[in-house]
Amino acid sequence: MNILNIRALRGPNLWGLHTAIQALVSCSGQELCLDHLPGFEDRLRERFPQITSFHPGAPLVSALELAALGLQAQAGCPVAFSRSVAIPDPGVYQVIVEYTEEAVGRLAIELALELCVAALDDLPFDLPSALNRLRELDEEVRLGPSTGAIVAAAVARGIPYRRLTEGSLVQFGWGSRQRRIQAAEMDSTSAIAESIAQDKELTKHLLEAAGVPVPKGRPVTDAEDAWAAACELGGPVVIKPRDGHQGKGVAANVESREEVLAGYAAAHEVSSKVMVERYLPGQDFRLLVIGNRLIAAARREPPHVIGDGEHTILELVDEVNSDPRRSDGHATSLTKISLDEIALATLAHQNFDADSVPRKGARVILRNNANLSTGGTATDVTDDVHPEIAARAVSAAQMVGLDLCGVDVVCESVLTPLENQSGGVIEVNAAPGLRMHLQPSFGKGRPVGEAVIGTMFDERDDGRIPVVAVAGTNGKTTTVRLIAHLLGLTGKRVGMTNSDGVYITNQRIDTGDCSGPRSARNVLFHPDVDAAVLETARGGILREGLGFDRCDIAVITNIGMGDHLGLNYISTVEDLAVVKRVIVHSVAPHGVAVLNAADPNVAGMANACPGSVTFFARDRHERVLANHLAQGKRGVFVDGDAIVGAKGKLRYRVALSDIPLTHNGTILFQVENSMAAIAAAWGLGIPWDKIRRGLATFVSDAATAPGRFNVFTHRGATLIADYGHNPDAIRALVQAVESMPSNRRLVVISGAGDRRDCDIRLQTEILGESFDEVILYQDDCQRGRADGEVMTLLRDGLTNARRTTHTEEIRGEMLAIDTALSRLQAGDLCLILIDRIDEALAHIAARNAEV
Amino acid sequence: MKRKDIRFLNLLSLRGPNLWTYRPVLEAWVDIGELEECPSNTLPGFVERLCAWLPTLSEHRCSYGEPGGFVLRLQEGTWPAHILEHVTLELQNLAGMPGGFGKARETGVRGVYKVVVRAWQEDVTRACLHAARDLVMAAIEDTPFDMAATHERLREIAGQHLLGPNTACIVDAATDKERGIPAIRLSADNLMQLGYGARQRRIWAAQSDRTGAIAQGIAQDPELNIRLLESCGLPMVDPADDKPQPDERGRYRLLVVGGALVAAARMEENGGAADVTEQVHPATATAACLAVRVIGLDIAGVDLVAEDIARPLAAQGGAIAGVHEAPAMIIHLHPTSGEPRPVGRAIVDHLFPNGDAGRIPVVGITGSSGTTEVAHWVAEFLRLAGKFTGLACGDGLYLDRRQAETGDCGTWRCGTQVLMNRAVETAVLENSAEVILGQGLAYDRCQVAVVTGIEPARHYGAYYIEKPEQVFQVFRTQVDVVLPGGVAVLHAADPMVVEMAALCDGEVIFFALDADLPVLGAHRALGGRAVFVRGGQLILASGTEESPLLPLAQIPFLAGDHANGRLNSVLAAVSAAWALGIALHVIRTGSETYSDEPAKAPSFDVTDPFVPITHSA
Repeated sequence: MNILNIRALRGPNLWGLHTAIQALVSCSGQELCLDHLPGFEDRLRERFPQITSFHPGAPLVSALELAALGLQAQAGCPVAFSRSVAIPDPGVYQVIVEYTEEAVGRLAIELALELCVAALDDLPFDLPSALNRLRELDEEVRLGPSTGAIVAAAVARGIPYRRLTEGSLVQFGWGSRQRRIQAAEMDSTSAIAESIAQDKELTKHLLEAAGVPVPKGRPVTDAEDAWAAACELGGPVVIKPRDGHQGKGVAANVESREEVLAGYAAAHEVSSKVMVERYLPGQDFRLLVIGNRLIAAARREPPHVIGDGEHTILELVDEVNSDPRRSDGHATSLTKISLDEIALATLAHQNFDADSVPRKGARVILRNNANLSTGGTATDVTDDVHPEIAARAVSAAQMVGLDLCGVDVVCESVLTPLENQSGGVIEVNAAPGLRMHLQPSFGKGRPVGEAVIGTMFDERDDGRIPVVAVAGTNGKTTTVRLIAHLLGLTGKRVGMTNSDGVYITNQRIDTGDCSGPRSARNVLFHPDVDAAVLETARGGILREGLGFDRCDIAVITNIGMGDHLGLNYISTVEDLAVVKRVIVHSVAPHGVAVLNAADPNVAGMANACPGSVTFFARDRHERVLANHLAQGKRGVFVDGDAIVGAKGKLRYRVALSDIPLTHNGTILFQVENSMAAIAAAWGLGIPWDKIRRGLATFVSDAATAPGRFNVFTHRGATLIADYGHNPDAIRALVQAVESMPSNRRLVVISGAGDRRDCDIRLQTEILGESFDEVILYQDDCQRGRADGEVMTLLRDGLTNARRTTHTEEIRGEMLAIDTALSRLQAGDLCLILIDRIDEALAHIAARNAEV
Repeated sequence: MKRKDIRFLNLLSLRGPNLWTYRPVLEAWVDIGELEECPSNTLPGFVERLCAWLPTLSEHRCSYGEPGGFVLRLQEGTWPAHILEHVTLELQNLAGMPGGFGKARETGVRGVYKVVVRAWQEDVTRACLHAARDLVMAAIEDTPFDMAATHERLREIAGQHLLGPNTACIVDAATDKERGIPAIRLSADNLMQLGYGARQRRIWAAQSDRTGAIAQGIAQDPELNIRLLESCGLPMVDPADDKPQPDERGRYRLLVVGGALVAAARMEENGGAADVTEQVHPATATAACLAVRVIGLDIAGVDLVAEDIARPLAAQGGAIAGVHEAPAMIIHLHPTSGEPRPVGRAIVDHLFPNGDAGRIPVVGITGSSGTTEVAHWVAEFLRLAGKFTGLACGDGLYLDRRQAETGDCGTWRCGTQVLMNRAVETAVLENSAEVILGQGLAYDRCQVAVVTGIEPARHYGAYYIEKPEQVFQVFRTQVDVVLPGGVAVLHAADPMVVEMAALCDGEVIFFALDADLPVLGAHRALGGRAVFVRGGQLILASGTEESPLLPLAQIPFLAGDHANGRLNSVLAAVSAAWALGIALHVIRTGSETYSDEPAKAPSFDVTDPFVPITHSA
């Protein structure tokens, strides 16, 4: 068994809406059927008992598939979907396994293969270590608890998200509506405010000004000054570095001269600036303020053990650490207590060491700060907080300028105002950890992620911009451009991807075929985009899935006889329809699928659409369309000299004479493209007067739509340049050409080597019925074919041609064009099927200029 | 015991408008003892020694109004306190601060003077003052003085304490006459507050309070910077392409503020910068602004390389090298060639668009008595009008209805605290004569100034105040700072207060018990506003038009023994409320309900339910 290649499907794909690893795997001989591998299943189960059962007659890849899924599941990843599919190549399968983290999915496939090989060859397989590797990798790459909670809240609200880095920088929403977070920071979180929060003295100064109680104290210059300050304050003090975090270098509740001097030294190691403050008696509370509201509060306790009069502190710590909620990292709600140097020093302070046996009931503190990351615990007290305390916390946040912060309060109780006890705010923390509020050690978890999302997005805002996805065999690019043009008239800044490039408000920012998910993601990331129209080619869907989770409008122009059949194991038009249907699957519940009713493979997709459907067809009597209209649903068709949008008794007409693209309705494929665009615009809620204006002003020429039915005149003859390369496109072109008056018709054509033989042959078969002269050419690029092979196929297609009287074979596209031009006379028509679009159009323009 | 010495008896930091000037000053009380007998012309070689150490003194104009004026005074004979003033200013100058206001005045005590110098920064000015004393004494006593070391030390102190150049250029642009935005320094670093209370914004070098921490993080990550900008189609310099090939392309730094290009400079080989703002091609400016938008910054520098900044980037292999947060502005302020660009002003206009000065209504209240009462009344009217009101007065500091501090809070410190508070929508600040004399006002200008009445004799004794004119000078400070669109509320029955009307840049509302005072008549004849009592009614008059507010009998505050003393306070407060544009029905309701009983917020102790019930029905 060999893995031929591995792909990550990062968006909605052929197999569903979830992300998945897709591996191409080959098997041979006995591997094709597990029945022929005696003892394999038993050996497999010995090594991985949790693997689910599989069909005995299944191929070995099924074991790989289920192992990859099972290993992830056992490592704690919430995954459920997997599948193996045979492809036409004998012994080759697609194995699809859901993942939540791509790296974990890839490792799972790798480990599953190891497992299968071990079971085949009766070699050992270390399951615990494999699961551990997966678990550790998962913890490393997945979002941390704070970011994860915010992302989960966004997902629940239908807000799309995208990780911009491997860290915790996340984009919510799209285009101009996007927002960003990074762990517990929002894009609106002020950098200055964070700098203020970092400076404890400045923070205190500002809080004091805002009437928030803070412990009295001052910065000190040296150890003696620290002692002087302690004497001024009287009573126990806290010594801490001015810029510090996570409780480093803090000495709390010290009173004697020795302690103060030692505390100064410890603080001075962390920062050159040291503060001495009055020690506030009481407990540590963390108040979480988001926006201008108190969202959660927790009482925090430092790591400690309670003596039982029998066990040593070491044993007591081990016992506490045996709590399954305690892990070594952030993965669970608690972290293990470590008996490190700081802990031992803290013990020494209480006259203990690790082997001391504290008396029953004695509370032994192992650290002077209550951070969860060093083994502390948090108890939710949100519902206890006195409104006056909440108001002080909000004032503190506001004064520092933070829209998301943790306010550290020390007081006896949160049930009464700070002013009534000697409580105070000791610190304001930017980017606070949210774990203690999401999964407190004791008490209720609080919807913190929801609160963050709630301040970033209004109740009804999901951060999305209108997204239109367009797929189909022919007409995609024109339809995309037309929809983008109509959207632009509504004042929206439109981002567009198509096979020519990426356009933002009509400016091309990328070139080449941009109909894949990467370009789609770039458009949805661009800050100046208010709406997106995305050409969505099959290649990208197969390779990586969609670049978006959901669209408002999905347009399928047509499938016809298909194109590129045979590539990527898509060999029939039905297969192709399944691929293109992915965008219909991704339509939002309030969205619309715009489907060609005259194309049975397209019309059939209606059932897959979670939203509503608008059918279009030239003939209103097309059965699917007629039924749809009869049910009072939306349809678009041609009625006499106009395109009509109909719903129930409503009729919106757009005269064909007002759509220059259709040449008064004579170019039928442009009529169809117009209908698709009209249906999409209608679905987007664009007013009909704007739709009409847009259709009237849409320009499609060599400059704006190179290679899309570009019409020229040359010495009294008509030239049409087009990029059409499949039988359907050729048919549509022939129809268009036949509607145009001409004496003789000439055509210049080559064939793309990556199409099936029959498809290449069929193109000239169609042309032979309508053209008097055919100039065949081949270029250097044969896309995997031997020299002359394509030419032969094209020639074969002309064998029974009824109209063609002259055939020529030319090497080189430009020479072929020149040859055709030289044979042209006034009144003739010449269709040039160009391949190198820009070069050929420039060549034609140059020849025209010579006249 | 008589001695020839300059001794500081007291040093006052007047941190806001004061009886000398609108700006912060240091006021030194100086005792020159027997030097009173030694004017400068009587000390052989003194003037030469002084001028040798400080040749730039020759620039001082002093009373003659032209350079050399002060040296002339020295030669003619002037006293050490005056010399101390000029030397301090000159030392500040040498330490890098522009010159400015200075004064030396005699007091009623022989040999004791008040020397006042503009304090750009308190610690620096203090150091200059002390150095000036030593320098003048050395010149008097003909002892050596290490001028170079002093100069060096003062420059160093100035470097430590003065704002950095980026912050300073923004603050200067904000506080200049054109924008008139008040500023408060919040920390020893460069954290500055522009504007007051709820309308404030903050800056820290070239960062604003809306500069996002996440965006800064992105800007600091070159790899991420490039990836995000590239995905938006911006041409980027390839970081891998670092071979030291001769590059024809020039390096440019573009400054983008609030989504617009405000300055551009070409970085020269020699470390200089040439301004090219006018030459930048619009498409390049658009690309730079897009880059900044992608990163998410409001103020940023964009580095790029181009052969010719006047042509689009794409056409010439130009590319963006990166986006930087907190960009240095010095290259645009002091380019080695080309026009300096007002980048500070651009940032201020971004923070305060449409000419907004970031002010909240501030009411300053002063006078010899009754001011605390007036302050409470005005604050109550404002709270009733729905404004979150900060009140700093003689009996405490109040944030809305909460007393945040007790004791005398009618001080510069408490006033500043109120103006720093981001929740505060209006501020009512009481200022006694002592505050104006010893601390300065907490605000540069105010919307409404109230002067209740002046009893000069009450203020004699302290601060060498001995004459009515001096008392007038103290209290007028309050009226001097009224904004052009503001109002001075003045007691018409007090001639000294009436005299202040002419000093007010804004409108005047007079109040008095007696409706028939000639002052009121004359004021109303010119269409002015006045508040008084007639026939038991409290009347608001605007020119000849009179509207009764309510009968005095309906004001519970006036019931009882203190009615007469309190009535003036009520009139002053009602006038101030009227000046603030508070609706008359709100003023009426406030008058009918105001009580000086401490407002008791409805509160409950959550432990109450557990108090055992000891009685039964």
